Amino acid sequence: MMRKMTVGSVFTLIAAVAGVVGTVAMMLSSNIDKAYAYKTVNTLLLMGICGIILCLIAVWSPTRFGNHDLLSTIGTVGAIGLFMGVVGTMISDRVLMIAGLFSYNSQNMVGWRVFYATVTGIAAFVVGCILLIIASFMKNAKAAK
Amino acid sequence: MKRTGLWRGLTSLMCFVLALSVIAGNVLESNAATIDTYMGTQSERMESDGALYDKFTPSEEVLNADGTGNSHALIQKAIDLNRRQAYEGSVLLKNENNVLPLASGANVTLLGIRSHKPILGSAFGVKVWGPVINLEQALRDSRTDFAHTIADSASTNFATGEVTIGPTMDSWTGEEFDFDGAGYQVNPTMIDIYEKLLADFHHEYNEGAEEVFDPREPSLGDIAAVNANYKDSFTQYGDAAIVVISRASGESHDYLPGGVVEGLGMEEPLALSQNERDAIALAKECSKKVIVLINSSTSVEIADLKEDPDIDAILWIGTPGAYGMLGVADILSGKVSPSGGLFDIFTARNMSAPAMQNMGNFRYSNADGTVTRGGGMFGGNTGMYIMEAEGIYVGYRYYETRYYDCVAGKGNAASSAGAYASAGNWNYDDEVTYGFGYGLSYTTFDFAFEGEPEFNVKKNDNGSIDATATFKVKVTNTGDVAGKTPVQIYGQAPYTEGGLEKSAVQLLNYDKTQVIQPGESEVVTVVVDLQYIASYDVDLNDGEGGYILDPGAYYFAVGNGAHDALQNIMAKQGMNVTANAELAYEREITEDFISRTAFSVSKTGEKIVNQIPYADWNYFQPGEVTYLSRSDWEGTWPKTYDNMTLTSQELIDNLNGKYYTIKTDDDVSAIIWEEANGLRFYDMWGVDYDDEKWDQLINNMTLEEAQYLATYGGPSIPGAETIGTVETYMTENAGNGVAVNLNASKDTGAPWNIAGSDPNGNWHPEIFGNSPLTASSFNPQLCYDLGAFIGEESLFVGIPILWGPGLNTHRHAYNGRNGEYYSEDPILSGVTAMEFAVGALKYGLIAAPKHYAFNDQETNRSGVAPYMTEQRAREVELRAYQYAFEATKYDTDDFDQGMRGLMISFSKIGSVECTASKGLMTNILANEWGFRGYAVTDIYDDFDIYGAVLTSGATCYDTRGMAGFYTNTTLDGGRFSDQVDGSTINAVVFAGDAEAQNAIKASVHKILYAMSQSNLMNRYDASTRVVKLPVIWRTAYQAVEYGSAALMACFAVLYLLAKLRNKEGK
Repeated sequence: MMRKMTVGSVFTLIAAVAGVVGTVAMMLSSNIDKAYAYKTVNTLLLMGICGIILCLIAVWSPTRFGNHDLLSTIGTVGAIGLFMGVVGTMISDRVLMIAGLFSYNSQNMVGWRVFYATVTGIAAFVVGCILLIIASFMKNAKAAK
Repeated sequence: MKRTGLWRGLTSLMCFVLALSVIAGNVLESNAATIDTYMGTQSERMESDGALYDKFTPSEEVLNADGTGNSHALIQKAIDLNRRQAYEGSVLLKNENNVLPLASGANVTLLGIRSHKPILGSAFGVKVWGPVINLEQALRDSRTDFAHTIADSASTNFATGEVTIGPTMDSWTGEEFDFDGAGYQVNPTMIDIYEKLLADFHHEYNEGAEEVFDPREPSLGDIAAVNANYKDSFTQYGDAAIVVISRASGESHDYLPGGVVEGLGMEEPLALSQNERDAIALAKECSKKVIVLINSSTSVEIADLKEDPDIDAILWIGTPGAYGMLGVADILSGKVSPSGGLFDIFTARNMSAPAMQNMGNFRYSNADGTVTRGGGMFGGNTGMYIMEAEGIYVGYRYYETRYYDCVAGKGNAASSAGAYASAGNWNYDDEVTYGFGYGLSYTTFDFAFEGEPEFNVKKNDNGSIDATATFKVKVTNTGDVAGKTPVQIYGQAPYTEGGLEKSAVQLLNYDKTQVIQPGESEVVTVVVDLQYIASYDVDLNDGEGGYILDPGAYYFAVGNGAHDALQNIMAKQGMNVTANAELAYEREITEDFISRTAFSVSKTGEKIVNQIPYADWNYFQPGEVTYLSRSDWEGTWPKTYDNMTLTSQELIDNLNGKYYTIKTDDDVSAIIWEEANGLRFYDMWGVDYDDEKWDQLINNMTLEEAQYLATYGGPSIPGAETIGTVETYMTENAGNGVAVNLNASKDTGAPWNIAGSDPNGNWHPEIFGNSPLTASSFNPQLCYDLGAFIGEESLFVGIPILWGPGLNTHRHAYNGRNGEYYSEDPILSGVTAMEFAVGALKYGLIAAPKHYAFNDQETNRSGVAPYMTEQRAREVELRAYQYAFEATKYDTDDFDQGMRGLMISFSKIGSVECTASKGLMTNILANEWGFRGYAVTDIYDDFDIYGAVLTSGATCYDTRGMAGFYTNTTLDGGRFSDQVDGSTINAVVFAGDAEAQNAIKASVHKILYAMSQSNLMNRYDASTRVVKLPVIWRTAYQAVEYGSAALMACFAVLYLLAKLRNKEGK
């Protein structure tokens, strides 16, 4: 029996969009200047895409398997893990640059552009995670009338 | 059903928390040492089973009887030394009718908002930290108010334009200190007004240069708006009016030509604004005694103040540091007679310097698409350059030489070219306000040569020549008060019109008297090394290059600054000037006395030849740049070289970093690694650099260990298990003190360690005034004592290597970094740095002067290409380093003093990165000057030319923030992965490159040798190890990490159980 989407599903869907935004911003920040390219950018891109796919699975699977089904739960937790994995790598890679921007290297305009792209990416991923957490407390499917 | 949602939600939440804690843990552990410094925590400690700390010990005066540290005595010593720095370095420029000193008990009014908030340090770099004594307190009080006087600083976010202001530390919880101030009554009305005005006219104790500058001096209207009756207070406090005019200096930003906010009544940032002039006018209303304090680290345009009969006194006070205002008060009140001499020439218009024709932003016209190398991790602009077309005529060398030629009627010197303050043709008196080295005293001195100078020439076994001239100068105090004075010896080499460029006068050496009582005398001996009057000729020996000492008449003179000395020389030569020919000495130097090319062999026995031809633009594209020549001042006056076009492929290749190709198939079988002979680092204490034990020690290492050591140069430096070293935090800034709080020591095992519970534990040692103040003292002993004290500090905070002091020469007044560098003169800079570094080494602190070399402006500092002649490079900028690094004064027959540390510049030399210049790093620094020590890049610089940097003679990179080597920070896939040639750096990249492996060995040798001379050896024996300690941040993130992991697992299980029950329920 197919079920209808809920508010929780919408939150998860928005989280997937946030994942897209985060991934795009991450790629952007990696391509502004080759000195600031992420060393593992391909892995980060893969993690971002997998996280987005897991979000979509978490939206779809309850309509197939019912509310709070195991697959959507795995999808939600997995997406959180992947998104935060990307966030962690971005922070680790950028922490020295960011420390410099706020002290001895504030005139590094390329660095500031990278910084804003990085912050946008991190913010998008974190917002996505928060939406996923909220959604996971909520019903994510209801029976079709 | 509800339960599954709850457990599912909590599982997700804990997953998120776990991820956050893992991220936090990674970031914290990767930057543990830096976090420890700023949080005052200690996350690791070097430990040993043996009784150590027997090699370097602080002086008894900062220890208690039982050998423990005495923080009160340490701070008191810092206060006293900073005070001495200020009263020895401040320069009295004008004192009409002996208005100074002012008697104790005088009622004075302080004017200008900077009198209330003077500049004590730089916005970044040599910032002053912690509690301070401000001018009002020094003039009025007798006890510190540290609890309410914490230095603050401004930080500008250039992306947003936002200015953030904050204190350098949260609070002072330690002791207060007694002092003897000037004993004046200070007008409280004006203090109150300026305090209120600070709300709108933001000022801090630490500020930097600004590209569009506004001194933010309130108008008289602003003052009246706070208190309309403020002038009433002048009656009571009218014994004297003291006006403070300030110009800041700091890292990252320059003043720029014409870079001022509109409507201020000033055209240039180092001129005075209308509001500043109004403050001086107000001072004239307030009192018949007007005193102006110039609070700056650069030349301020004060020609009209000099000529103004209503301004009685001008005192330059530099940027005096946390407690330096006590020294200023000492001079004002006459406790001490001023004895400094100007570090730079003060001109009427700073734009009149030939260097200013080519200062600021210049980019190659075809940089786009031609200069393809990226800006690097520091984020510099690519394709930027400056053309140093002024040649050797930097600072006073230009003004004095042109003056000489004007009087001599040669070289079109009196033309209008370069005339800024002169009406019509160039006129020295109009262009120059106060000369280099000039300074007044409260007393007067007579100088006289005591007998004939003694010239000595000695040939050494290595082929080098030691040639000196020893001058004995009798100084007699002919005034009424005790005082001391510098004894400055200048020289002039014979110049042939149209021949090799030579300055008409140059400082050769100096010393300072002790305090001489009225009527008494002292004989000061000054030894001049004649190699510093030789000139560098790139065309010598058919273009091979080398130093020459042209036969002919050489003149030496003593004087109150360069102009006075030159005048004495001119009088000796019979020229039409009013001066004392008795204070000049003529010596005919012939080839019989010393060979013309004697100084083309360095003190190490190395033949000196051209090493940096790529410094000169004309080397690549001949005839495109004309350098200033005294043969025709008018015809060669520098034009502004903007929009230069790159056409030489060699030049373009250099700019794109094509310096070195890592080889893969060399025969490296003769290079020994992993020998396992049992020798360990702690065995190397006191072992000479050339001892073969060093080779044996390094043979124990793996290539990978050596590469780590040659890569990660600090603040944490990797350990190497095979030689018994451990990774630890070793390096820090800066030239005005070690940037680590007492209670954040990296060496808490030291017997003198200041415990975290000590009331003065949060005292921060960066307190001293900026470098020009030190240089202006013309007192080598003071510089030694400053270095020695900072060496003692290093023992208290556990830092064996200091990234400082600054040692570049001032190319012009607009360089924002001038406050960190000593002077425009290489000898004054070199002597000061040498004394500092040798003093520091007394306590095992390796001073690493920076930025070698040519950091001639902060604008585009990350990789700007300054083009110049090799003569200019060697006779000005490099001479400062040469003097310090040869440290001949401290050499004995059995001991070569030398220096043990260095930081390399961001900038290029010509088209080649300084970090990658073998000419600069190996042939000049190591081979000619004999440098044996740690030579680190500036922060994150030139990561993309790894092979070139590590084979040039640079020993390692500044990798601030990168630690946890072999774990968090690895060579494999690390920050060096993107190279200009597309290669990737890893731990085996040099496996087939014999040159690189040998260079790595040499780097490790130099680094370990420097470490073995440092106070790090206090902590080393066979059992030395590093232990991780529980600190609050580590405990916190680990608790969250483990807790969230456990809870996540629990909630996941509960979710599954709930799902099962639901299923069964159905």
